[in-house]
Amino acid sequence: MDTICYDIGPYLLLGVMRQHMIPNCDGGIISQGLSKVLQAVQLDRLFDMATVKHFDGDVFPFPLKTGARESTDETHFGVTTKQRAVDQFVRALEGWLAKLELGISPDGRGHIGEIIGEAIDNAERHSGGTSGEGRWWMAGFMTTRYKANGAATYHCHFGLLSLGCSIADSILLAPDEIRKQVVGYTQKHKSKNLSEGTLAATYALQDGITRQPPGGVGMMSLLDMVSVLGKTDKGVKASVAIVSGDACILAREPYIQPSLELSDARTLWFNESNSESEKPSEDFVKTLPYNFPGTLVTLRFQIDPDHLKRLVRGSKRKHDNN
Amino acid sequence: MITIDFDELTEGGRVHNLTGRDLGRRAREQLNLEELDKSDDEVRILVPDHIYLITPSFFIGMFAASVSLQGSLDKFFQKYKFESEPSVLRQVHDAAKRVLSVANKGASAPF
Repeated sequence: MDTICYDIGPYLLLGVMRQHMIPNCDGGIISQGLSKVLQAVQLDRLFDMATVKHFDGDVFPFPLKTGARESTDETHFGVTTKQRAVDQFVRALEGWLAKLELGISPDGRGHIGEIIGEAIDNAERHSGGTSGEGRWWMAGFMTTRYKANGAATYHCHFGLLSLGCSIADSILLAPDEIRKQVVGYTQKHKSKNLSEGTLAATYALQDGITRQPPGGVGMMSLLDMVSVLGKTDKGVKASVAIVSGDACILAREPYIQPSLELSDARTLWFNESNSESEKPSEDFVKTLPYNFPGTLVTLRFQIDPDHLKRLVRGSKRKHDNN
Repeated sequence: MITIDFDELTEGGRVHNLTGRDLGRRAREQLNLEELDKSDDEVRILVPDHIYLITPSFFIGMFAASVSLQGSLDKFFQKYKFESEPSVLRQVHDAAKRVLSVANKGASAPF
C-alpha cells in the first residue's frame, strides 16, 4: 500500500474506470497521506470515498477537470471547458510558485498555458479519432514534504488521461509523408520486445510529427518544461510517463531533455547518441503485454527554488546583455 | 479598416486564453475570414490585455488559410494588424511562422 501519492496517473485512471465497474466491491484501506491527496484533488468523488477531515494544509491541488471535444456547429463562440481548464492550471501553477516566492513572467505564463492547452487539444482531437468524442480528465497537486533535518521539499504531480485512439492509431492517419517516416522507423527497429505500435508512439513524440500539420510540438514542449522546472541536483529527478496503446514510454534522466537539431526540431530518441537510426533503450521504451485504449500522460517533478532563482537570474542577465 | 475584437471570443473576459483548433475554425467561419481574405481591406485584431495566450492550434484553425493565401509573414501582418501585449504578439508570430514553413514545404496540410 502506498503511504503517499508517488504518481497521480494510476489513481486518475482507476477513478475513471470505477465509474464503469459494477459496484460489487466496497470498503478498503487507504493511508492517510494518500486519502488527503485524493480528497484535495477531488478524485475521492470517483472512488466514492468517505470524507475524512485532514488538518494539515500541505497539499495544494489542481482539482479534477474533465471535458470533451465540443460541437463545432454552434452558432456562437462560447467558452469551452478546455479554456477554463487552461486558466485554472496556469493559476494553480502560479499559486504553487508564489508559495516559494517565485513568479511567472507573461511569456512564462503563455508558455505553460500553451503546453497544457495543446496537450488537452491533442487529447480531444487525436484520441477521438476522426469523429470521436475525445473525452479527457486531468488533475494535479503540489505537496510539501519534510526531510529529517526539517528542510521542506516541494513536489508537483500532474496527470492527463484521454480514452479512445492511442498515439500510434492516430499518427497512422497522418498525411503520407509523415506516415512514411513513421513506418520507416518502426520497420527499422521492430523486434520481439518493441512492437510497431510502441515505436510509432515514440516517433510521434518528436517535433513536427503530427496527424494534422502544422504542429506536433506539444510533447517535446512538455518534456522541455518538466526538465527545466524540475531540475535539481539534490532531490527527486523529474519524470514523465506516457502509456498509450501498447507503448509505455518513460522520460527521465538521462533521457528527458529534448535536444534541438539543426532543423529547429527537437528530438528525444531514448538512446545514448540521441539518434533516430538507433533503437530506443528498452529501459525507457517498453511494449506492454496489453493494449491501453487511449493515452495517459503523467508527470512528477520536484521544484528546487534555488535552481529556479538561478535560472531567472541567468535569463535576466542574458536579456540585459542583449 | 475592419476591426475584430477578440474579447468577444472570451465572452467579455470569462476566460483569458484562446485555445484549440476547433475554436479557431469556428471563429474563422463566424467572422467570415474567407471573405475578408479576398478583400483589399486591412483588418485590425484587438487582443485585450487580459488575454495572455493564443495557442498555435487556435491560430492555425483561424488564420492558417489566410497566412498561406498571403504567402509571406510581411503580407499577412500588413493585412491583419494585431494589437496585443508583446508576449501574445510573439505567440502569434511564432504560430504564423510555423504555418508558413509547412506551406512552403508544400505539405498536404489539412488545415
